[in-house]
Amino acid sequence: MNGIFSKLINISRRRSPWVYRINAGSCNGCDIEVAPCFSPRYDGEQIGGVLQGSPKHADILLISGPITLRTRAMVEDVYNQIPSPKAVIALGSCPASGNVFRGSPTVIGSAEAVIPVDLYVPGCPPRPQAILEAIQTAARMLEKGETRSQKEVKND
Amino acid sequence: MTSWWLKAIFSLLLWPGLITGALFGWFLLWMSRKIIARLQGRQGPPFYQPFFDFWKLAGKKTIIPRGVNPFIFYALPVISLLSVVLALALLPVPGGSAISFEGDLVLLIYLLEMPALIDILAGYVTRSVYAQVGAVREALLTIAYNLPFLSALIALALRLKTFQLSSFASAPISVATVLAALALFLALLAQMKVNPFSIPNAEQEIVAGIHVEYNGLPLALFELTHALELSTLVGLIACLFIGPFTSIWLKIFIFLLVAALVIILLNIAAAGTARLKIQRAFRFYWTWGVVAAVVVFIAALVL
Amino acid sequence: MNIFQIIFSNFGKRSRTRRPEDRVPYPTDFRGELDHQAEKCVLCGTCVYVCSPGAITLETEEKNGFWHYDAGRCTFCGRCVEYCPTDTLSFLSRSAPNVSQRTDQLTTHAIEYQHCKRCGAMIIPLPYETLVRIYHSEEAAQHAIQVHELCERCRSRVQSESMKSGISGTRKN
Repeated sequence: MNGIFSKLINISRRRSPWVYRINAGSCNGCDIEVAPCFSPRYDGEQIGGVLQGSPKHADILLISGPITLRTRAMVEDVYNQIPSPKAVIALGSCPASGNVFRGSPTVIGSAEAVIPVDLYVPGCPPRPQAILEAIQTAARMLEKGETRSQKEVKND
Repeated sequence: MTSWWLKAIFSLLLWPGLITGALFGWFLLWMSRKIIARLQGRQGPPFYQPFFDFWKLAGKKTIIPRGVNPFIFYALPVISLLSVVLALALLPVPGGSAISFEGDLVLLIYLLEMPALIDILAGYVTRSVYAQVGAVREALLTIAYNLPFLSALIALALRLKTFQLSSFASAPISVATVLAALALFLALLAQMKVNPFSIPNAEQEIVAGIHVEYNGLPLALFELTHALELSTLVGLIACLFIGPFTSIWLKIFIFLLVAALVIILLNIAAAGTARLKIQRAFRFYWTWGVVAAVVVFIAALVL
Repeated sequence: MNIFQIIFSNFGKRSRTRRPEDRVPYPTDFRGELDHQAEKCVLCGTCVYVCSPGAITLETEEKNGFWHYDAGRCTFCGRCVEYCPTDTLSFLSRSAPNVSQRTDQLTTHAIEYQHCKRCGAMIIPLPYETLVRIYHSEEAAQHAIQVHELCERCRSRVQSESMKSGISGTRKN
C-alpha cells in the first residue's frame, strides 16, 4: 500500500511541475522568455506547469541573472521557502557564470555558490522551448529523485 | 439502526460523498481549466491534471511559518474538508442520499459557509500580509454573495413549504426553479472565486491570497476542499432540475448535463471578464443580487 | 472588438499551441551553439580579444595549445565568429543542450604545434583556404604557400634573402 502511494506521488511530481521565477539581477531578457512558455503558443499548462506566485506552492525554481550582493539573501530565502522536493533551473549564462557582469564587485557571479543548481539552460536568453524542455527534464528528475536537494536529504 | 449508520457512512464516503465528489470535482476543475485554455486559444491541461496536482502537493514536505500554531495550521483545512464532505453527503443526488431529514437545507447552508469562514481564519492565522488582505476581501465578499444564494434557497423552501432537500430534487421544474438556479449561479461566481470576483485570491495583486503561506498536505486539503465545494455547489444547482424524471439513468444524465452547462457558463464569464475592485463587486451583488432575490421571491410565491 | 467575439472565435479555431516535441524551426543566422573546428584554428587570440564576457581563453603548453570555451559564460553576441580570420568559429543552427553539470558546458580543444621547416620553432601554419581567401586567388597564394609553414622569424629571413638575391642578381628563378 505504501509502495503504491509513493509511486503515485512520484508520478504526480512529473505530471504537475509548478514553477516559481526569481530575477536575481537579470537584464529581464530571460524573464521575458519565461512569459511565452505559458502563452498560447508554447502553453506550459499542457505539461501540467503552472506559474505560481508564492514560492511555497512551487516545485521548480527558475533563477535568472547573476546573483548580486543584494539579491543573494532573497535567493537563499526563496530557496529555503520552497518545500522539498525541489529543483532549481538556472536560466541563461548569468546564473551559470556571471556572464558579462562577472568581475563586478557587486556580483557574486554563480548561482552555484548560493544554492544547488540542477539544470543549466544555455543561451542569452534561452529559447522558450528550451525552458519548457528544462522544466520537463527537471520534473522527470524530481520523479526519479535525482535532484541535488533530494540527494542531499538521502545522504544525511 | 446499524443499517442506517452503514448507509450514512456509504453516503459520506462513496455516493455522493468524498470519493465520488472528489473525482467529480476534479473533473469539473479540469473542465474549467480546459475551457478557459481553449477560449484563450491554448491547448490546456490533460484530464488527469487536478488529480496529480493533489497527490503531488500531498507528497511534499510541509513548512510551518514561524509563529504559527501547528495545530491550528493543520486543523483548519481538515475542518474545512470535513464540513464540505458533510454538505456533499446531504446533497439529494440521483439515487438519493441516506442522510435526509426535515431541516437539512439549513445544515447544508451552514456547512457551505464553513469553507469561507475557514479561509478567513486561515488568512489571519498564517500572519502574512497578503493572506490578511485576502481574508478581508473574502469576508467582505461573503456578505455580498450570500444575498442571492440564501434568498434563492429560502424562496424555493417557501414555495415547497419544506426545508428538506430531497423534496427540492423531486419538485417539478417551474419558472421559480430556473430563476433560483440563475440566482445560485450568480452567487457561484463569487463562491468559486472565478474571474470577475477572483478578488480574495487575486494572483497578480496579492500573490496567492489566503493560501499564500500554506504548502504541502494542508494546501492539498484546501485544493481538495475547493474541488468538493465546486461539485457540491454545481450539484446543488443540477439537483433542482432532476425532479420530473423517473428513470435513474435519465436523472443522472440531466444532472451531468446541467452541471456541464453551469461549468461552461461559469468559465465563459471567467474568461471574458477582468477582475473587479472589491467595492464594485460589493455594489454588483447588492444591486443585481437584490434584484435577483426579489425576482426569485416573487416567482416562488406568486407564480 | 468585443472580448466575447474574440474568445468564441478562439474556441472555434484549433489551438495555436505547439507540443513541446514540435520544435519551432530555427531562423537563418540563428546564433546557437558555437562550433569550433580545431583543425583550422591557429590560436591567434582574436576571439579572446573580442569576447566581452571572457568565455574564450587560450592556454599554451610545450607541444599543444588549448582553446577553452565556456558555453555558460557566452552571450552569443557573435563577435568571435565575425572576427575569426580563419573561419574556424561558426554558429550551429540549434541551441546548446541543457546540462545538469556545469562542467558539461566547458569545451576544450587541443591544437598541436608544428615545427618550423627551417629552424624547428613551434608554429601553427595558416590553413590553405585562408591563404587563398587572403590573396583572393590560388595563383596569388602560391607565393605565400612556399613560406607559410615557416615561423615568423624564418619567414622574414627567407623574404629578405630572396629580396637581397634579387637585387644582387644571384636569384635563380
